[in-house]
Amino acid sequence: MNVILCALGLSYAGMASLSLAMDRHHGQVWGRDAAVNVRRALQLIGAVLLALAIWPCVAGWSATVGFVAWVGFISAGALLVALLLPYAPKLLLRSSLLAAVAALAGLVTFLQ
Amino acid sequence: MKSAHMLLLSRVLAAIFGGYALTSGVAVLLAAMLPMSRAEAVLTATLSAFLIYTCAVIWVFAVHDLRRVWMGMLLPAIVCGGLGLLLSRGGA
Amino acid sequence: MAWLHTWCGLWISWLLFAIFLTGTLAVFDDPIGHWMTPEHALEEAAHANDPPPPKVTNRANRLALALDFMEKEHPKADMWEIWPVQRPGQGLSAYWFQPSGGYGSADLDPLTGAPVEHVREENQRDTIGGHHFVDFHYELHAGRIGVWIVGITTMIMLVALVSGVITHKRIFKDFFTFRPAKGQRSWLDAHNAVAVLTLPFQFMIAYTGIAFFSDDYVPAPVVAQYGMENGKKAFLSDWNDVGKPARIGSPMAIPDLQPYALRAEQTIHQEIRAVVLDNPNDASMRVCMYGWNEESDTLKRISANTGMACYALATGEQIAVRQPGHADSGPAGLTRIVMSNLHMAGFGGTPIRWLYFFCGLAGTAMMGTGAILFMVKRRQRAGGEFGSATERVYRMIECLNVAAIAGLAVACIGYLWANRLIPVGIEHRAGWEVRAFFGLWLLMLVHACVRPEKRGWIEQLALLAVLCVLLPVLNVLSTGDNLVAQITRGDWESAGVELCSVVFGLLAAWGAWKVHKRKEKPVKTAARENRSAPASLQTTMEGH
Repeated sequence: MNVILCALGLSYAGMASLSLAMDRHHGQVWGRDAAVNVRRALQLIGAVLLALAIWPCVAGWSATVGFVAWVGFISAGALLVALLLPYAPKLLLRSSLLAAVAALAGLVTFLQ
Repeated sequence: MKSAHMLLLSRVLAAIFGGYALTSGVAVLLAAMLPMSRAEAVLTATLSAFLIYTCAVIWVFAVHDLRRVWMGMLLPAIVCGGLGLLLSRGGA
Repeated sequence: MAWLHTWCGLWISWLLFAIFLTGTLAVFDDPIGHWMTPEHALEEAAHANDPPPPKVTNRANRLALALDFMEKEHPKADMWEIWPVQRPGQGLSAYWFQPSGGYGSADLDPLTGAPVEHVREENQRDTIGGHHFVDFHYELHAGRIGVWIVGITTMIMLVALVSGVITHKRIFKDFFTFRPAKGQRSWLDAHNAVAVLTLPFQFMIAYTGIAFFSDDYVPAPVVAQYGMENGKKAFLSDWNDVGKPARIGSPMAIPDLQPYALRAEQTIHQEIRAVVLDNPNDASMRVCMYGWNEESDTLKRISANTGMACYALATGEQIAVRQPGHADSGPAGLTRIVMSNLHMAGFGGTPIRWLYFFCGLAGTAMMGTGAILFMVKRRQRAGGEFGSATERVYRMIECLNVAAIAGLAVACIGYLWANRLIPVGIEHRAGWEVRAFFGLWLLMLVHACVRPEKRGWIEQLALLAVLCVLLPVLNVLSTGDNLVAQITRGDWESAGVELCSVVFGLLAAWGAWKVHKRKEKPVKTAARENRSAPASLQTTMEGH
């Protein structure tokens, strides 16, 4: 269960971050285009969160199965983001922040 | 007026049948050439076939000149298939 | 390229929608089958708190009994297969190749070795359960022809996927873009979103799907390497049955196989599942021991191959070993096995199945939105692609859209309704359930053709909503079992089927409502202007 929540949380938050780096979606939340340094930061954060999502997957299954699971989770995360952006962009922002914090904290359980 | 229809039909036939001929020809060559056991080589050839077929069909619709399209399908089909049959061990 | 995508996509969209929806449902074929055999499910629940049966200790005895049976009944068969401890149930089974082709099988009493007759209990309903969705998905319940139709459709799907990606110039810019309530724009956004965001899955599922019958679809290399006569058989035997010895002709008694089973278990670290004896009673006898994949194995490996150890019985030496997950023939063989299991989600447990379910629904939506988008666009501005017949063709496409999308879904839930409504004892009951599926689908097609498009959608979606939402009610009325009782006793398979059905029903109701609220825009017809064929062809060649 930890595995699923962590992987899904990181995937969702990562995809959210990548989407908010794009002007169109940045505008949906903040009403303006993203400044260049903000865009870079959001892209980096998004990429890192997505990459980190491999960790619970591999820990919970194995390298091969975990990789397949990871692809599934990031697809699911992307679908969630695409669905929320037009209807509830502020909710997307808050929930993805929450998901990122919770999932990163949850990663601690995979440290041993 | 009819020629546009015929050109399109020709292209579609080239994609479907020409593409299949090319796929089979390349598969026969792969199965004969690959440095693996016979079963493994045949398996690799059949598994790769759908990638080859997809690329062939896409190419048929990306290239403008119909003559080139048909050449592009039939020539490799005959060359690869022929070469593959020559190199085949046992069987046909 | 856009032209290619549109026309490849459209003509296969209806069948492919069905293949995808049934495939998605097939992920949960066992839970669906469980719901469809309520008598069996209740019996299972009644025994749920029974202590687990003691571990089998008389395997050597079971093997001997099975060998005796085979010696007496099928001495000439050149392959004997014994499953000494079946799962579940700890039964004893024997299999062999019949001279006419195909497998023969018998279940034996583990204590006496006598064949056990299975009498279907009068009260258990005969059904193929969730396997209907599997069978329809890969062969349309139509044998070899069905396999070919599905294969051709999948091949076209691959072309549609690639041409779609090539056409989608703004694929990265529009990655997360979905603009609802904007008509045609929204349908295109939805089509792009479900496709692009699950693109790895879509390519994987299509390719691994078509790879199942790769040697049937592309027989040329098989024939070139193995000849026309029995080429396929020779190839399969070469790939699957690596190292099967040829008969020598001198007789040899079958030794006790239990020591070999023990040796194999030491080597592959799995409990023995199957004992395969090649060339029985001949000096060339070979026995291959296969293991059981435990749940931990399926969580770790994509390949479904179990461990295997083979021994020559004349000398007692080990002649082949395969660790769990590996392939006998080599990397191509392993790729093929991995592809199969990737397609069937036979690894990773329930979470992976749910991921496949959602990605499968996304793929299904990809096809549905594509087909709908085609007509939404052309109702805005007709394309005249078919000259003077354009309007009639558009009408046909609209009918097919309703029947293939809403109608098929009705048929799927209708199949479950048929399971509860068809009387239990009748002959060929399982066949009647499948007939109900097809009959209902045909009925939906007829309905779609006689009703105007908007009403067709509303009525079929409404019917879908009713059938889905009321499924738990149907269950209460027909079996007396209810959702709360299922959850309380931990039957999450049945509860899951009913809960998902309700969710789909609510979605269908929402869909019917949205269509009802749809504002009709005035239609611009370019059809009458574009009577000449080349002009209309040019239009279609330029863009979709």
